[in-house]
Amino acid sequence: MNVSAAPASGAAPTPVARYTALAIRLGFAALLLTAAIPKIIAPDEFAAAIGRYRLLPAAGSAFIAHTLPWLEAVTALGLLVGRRWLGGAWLLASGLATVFLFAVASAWLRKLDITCGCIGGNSPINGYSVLLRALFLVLAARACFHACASPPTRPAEPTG
Amino acid sequence: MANPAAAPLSVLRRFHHALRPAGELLALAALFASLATLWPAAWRPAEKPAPAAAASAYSITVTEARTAPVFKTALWLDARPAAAFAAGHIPGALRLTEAEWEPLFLPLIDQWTPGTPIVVYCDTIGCQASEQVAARLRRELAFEQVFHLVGGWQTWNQNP
Repeated sequence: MNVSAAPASGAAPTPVARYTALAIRLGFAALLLTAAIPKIIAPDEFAAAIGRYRLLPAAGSAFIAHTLPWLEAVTALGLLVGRRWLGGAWLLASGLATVFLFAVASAWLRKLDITCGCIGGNSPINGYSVLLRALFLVLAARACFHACASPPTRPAEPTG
Repeated sequence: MANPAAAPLSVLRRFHHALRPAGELLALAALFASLATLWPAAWRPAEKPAPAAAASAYSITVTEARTAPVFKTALWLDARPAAAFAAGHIPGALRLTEAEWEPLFLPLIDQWTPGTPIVVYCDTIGCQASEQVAARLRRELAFEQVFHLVGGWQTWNQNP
């Protein structure tokens, strides 16, 4: 499935592929915004959630808590606006998905009985949450691979 | 004939188009995060008093409590109401709540060997009583090794 609807091999995408790509793009944007807003409103709670992963010192958790939600929000904005920012937004979304997968999988493997601190706040970490984040990464990376193939759109040059 | 060095180069070229917009989005996120940090504290909504670093430094998980040697001799404190305690509690735990501090604190001191870690728990992941009791004990005993159990009694029961 070509989730960006960009023609990977020169062929024009079908309407189904275009709408699927649009749905995935809007879905990702909504997901990132839903995750970002509560963290932006309460960065201290998010810092505590990061601290419970025991991956970073307190200062690192605080720094991430104050920056990562904005990165999520701006990435969502890039996905919504599209145009010349679409490739960059998918690249950032792939990076975010990688970080989330690493954090959740490491907590799951270390058998930390902590809550995720992601969307919905108090959801527990289990095999399902790891699988879900792996799926996010695959979708984002696939979309990134196709969106990054097409150069940023520029106004058409006059031909005459 | 296909050049073997061209394959990785083409992958890099594919992402090249996305690097600049990704950088722009990153810069925008950094700008928003900086502005949010500089936002005068007086304008912000009331924040919860518990600092993130403190919350994470004194929280332990059920796995840690069950496996770490330091907690083998710990004194367990139940910060739930009497009825919940009567219905079931961690073996050997004593009760201590903020509401009943005066009558429960002195018997607790008789049972506690100075220097022994203390673990306080309440009902479930969302409860705050254990954090509050642990923080007060740290102040009143002038002893740092007072922890609260993440997930409380419910998580303890689910992870036998």
